[in-house]
Amino acid sequence: MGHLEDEQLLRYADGETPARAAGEIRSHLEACWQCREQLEELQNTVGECVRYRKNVLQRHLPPPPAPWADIYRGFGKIDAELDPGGWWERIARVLRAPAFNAKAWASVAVALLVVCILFYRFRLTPSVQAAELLRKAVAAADAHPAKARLIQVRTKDRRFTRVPGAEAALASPVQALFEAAHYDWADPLSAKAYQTWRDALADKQDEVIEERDAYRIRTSTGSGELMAATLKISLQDLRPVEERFEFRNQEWVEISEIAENAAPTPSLIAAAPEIKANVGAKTLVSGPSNSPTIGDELHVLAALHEAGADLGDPIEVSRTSGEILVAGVGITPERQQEISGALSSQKHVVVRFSESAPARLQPEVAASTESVGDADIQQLQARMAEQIGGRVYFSQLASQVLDLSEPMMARAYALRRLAERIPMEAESSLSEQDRQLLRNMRQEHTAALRRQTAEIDRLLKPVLASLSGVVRTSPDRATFSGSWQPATEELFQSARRVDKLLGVMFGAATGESSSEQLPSQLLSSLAQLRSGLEAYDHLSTQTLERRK
Amino acid sequence: LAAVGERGCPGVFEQIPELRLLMSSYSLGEELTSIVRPERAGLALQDQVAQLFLEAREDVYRYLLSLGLYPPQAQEGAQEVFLRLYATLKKGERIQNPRAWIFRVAHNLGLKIRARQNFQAPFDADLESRLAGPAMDPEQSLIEREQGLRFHKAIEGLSNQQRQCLFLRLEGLRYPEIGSALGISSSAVGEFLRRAIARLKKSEL
Repeated sequence: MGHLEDEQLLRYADGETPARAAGEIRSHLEACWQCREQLEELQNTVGECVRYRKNVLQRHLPPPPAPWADIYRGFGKIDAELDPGGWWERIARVLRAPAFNAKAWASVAVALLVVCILFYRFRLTPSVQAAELLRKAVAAADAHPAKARLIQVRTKDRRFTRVPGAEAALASPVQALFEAAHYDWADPLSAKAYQTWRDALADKQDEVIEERDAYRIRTSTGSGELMAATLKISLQDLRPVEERFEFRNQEWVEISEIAENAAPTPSLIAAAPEIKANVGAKTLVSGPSNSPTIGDELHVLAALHEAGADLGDPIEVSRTSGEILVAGVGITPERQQEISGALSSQKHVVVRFSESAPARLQPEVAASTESVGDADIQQLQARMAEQIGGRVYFSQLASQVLDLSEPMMARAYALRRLAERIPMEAESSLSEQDRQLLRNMRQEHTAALRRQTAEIDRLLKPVLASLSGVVRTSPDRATFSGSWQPATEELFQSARRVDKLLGVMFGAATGESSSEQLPSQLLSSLAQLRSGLEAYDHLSTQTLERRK
Repeated sequence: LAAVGERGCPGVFEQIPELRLLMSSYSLGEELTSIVRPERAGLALQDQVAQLFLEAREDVYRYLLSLGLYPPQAQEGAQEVFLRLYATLKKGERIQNPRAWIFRVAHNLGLKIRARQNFQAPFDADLESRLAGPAMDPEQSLIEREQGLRFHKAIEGLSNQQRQCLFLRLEGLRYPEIGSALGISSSAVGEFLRRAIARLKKSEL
């Protein structure tokens, strides 16, 4: 190969030479200094051109006279010109297309189906789910007719028990509420009643929450007297266990099933002083016929405690000169047997079970005239929900706390009942053994109370502390002196105050305090109750030591 | 960017598993995506062209100035070039090298605009006075300035075709791309470039 021309060299440097020729040029350049020098000179000139572009053209040419326009606007115009119809045009084009055939129609059908699926999945599901759940629950109830059970009814100002289906002797205001709302009062805690009410609603919104052991269906409506109802159905057998009704006139009613050995119904025990045995009463008498003592009564109470019948079963104990009467209302036959069994070894006991609800009902707490505005509470609840990450978590928290407050109050009522049944002056006549028995019972109740209160405190403290702005230090340490009976009453009142504030906070009751103060009040009440429980235990120990 | 014109990117409908299953079983993806996909693809395309606009608009503007356009027309022309690129891609045409495409279109558009102007703008007049002016760049030595001016004059002395080939080569276009822009063969481009370089080399001596 002879010496290379400038053009050849330039093409080679620019990578424009075919691969084979480039190989030859490369070999030649390796061999030929002259051509390499020539190439270098070319490269120098190229370098000069690059510098000229950078230093002269880029620096010294006049800059653009105006700011650059927004190119996206231009894109938008082009889009409009190219595709004037947008979405509709595109759809229409597909439909108009000459090749439009069954396949294309099917695509439109699939699109519609997809829209329906999405709508169903995201919009209608709760309603469908609620209806389906109710249908199954009704079917389950029809398939296995439940044995007669007792339900507890709680309202703003009263608490009572009744047997579904039984006619109440007096038409209560609660019944009137249900009738006005077209909700079956004969058996309110049933899927059927809920379904019937729900089906009759013109407008409704459903919400279904699956909890650990139950479904919670909430239906709210803009029509009728009943604004919203919530039904809790057991996950296991679809049995309704709890219900809450919110009426348009601000009244609320809670109905819960009284489980065979757990749910509390302290009202009867605490409020109804005597229960008259009705027709169909069953009597069991045992033991010798001499006068029963306070010690005998304590043993009866202990036997009931042993059987768990002091925590909710609607049972009343009273002692007369001739007998100790244990009266129960609306208790299932199996439970009746258990209780009778537990009492069989006790002296002077007369057990009476009646099947209908008591006619006379005492209001438990007077309804407050001044109540916290709903809007206030809702605002507070919204703030709490925001704190803990949303409405769902708030509902969970509320149900957890309210679920704890029920057994807590059952313990408080049981304690109070002990104090009422075993008064200070009578206690001295008890044997040391019996006094120990009494202490043990009290300690069991207070231990449970402590656990429940601590759990409520644990659940609520973080959110309450941030809402109230201050973490309350414990209030003045509660101290009790003297005997345990008045201390029990104080403790009971303290627990009731917590229960009431919880009710207000979670919308289950109304109260006098302002929603602003509510978090701090609740915190301090909880602290007070916990401190009270400590002092109460201390009191028992002291009494014990004094006796020693 | 070249792939934008293709129908390769996943559409909304293909991202939902149930729908994908439905569509694959009925082979109906085409119809559905023809309705939905343009919307998304269009947005991605806009972004890509806008990015290219940001990177290359000044180069195109200066090239149009070098063709003899006045600055306002050159700026308007530069923007127009990118809008044409967008419209072309939007219609689904494939473009292998968008930068080469841009300069080819800019060259043709520039010639058209220049033809509408009453006379060609003296691309270099202003430039020459700036380069000659003492205060322009204080860091530059007198010798460097003189060299720069001499080189500029040499460029001025090139034929239009030589200069255009050189400028387009400076913008990174390959011979066939320059040939395509100027309507000449790539071997002619090689020859014009050789002559341009030869003349510029002389000016350096």
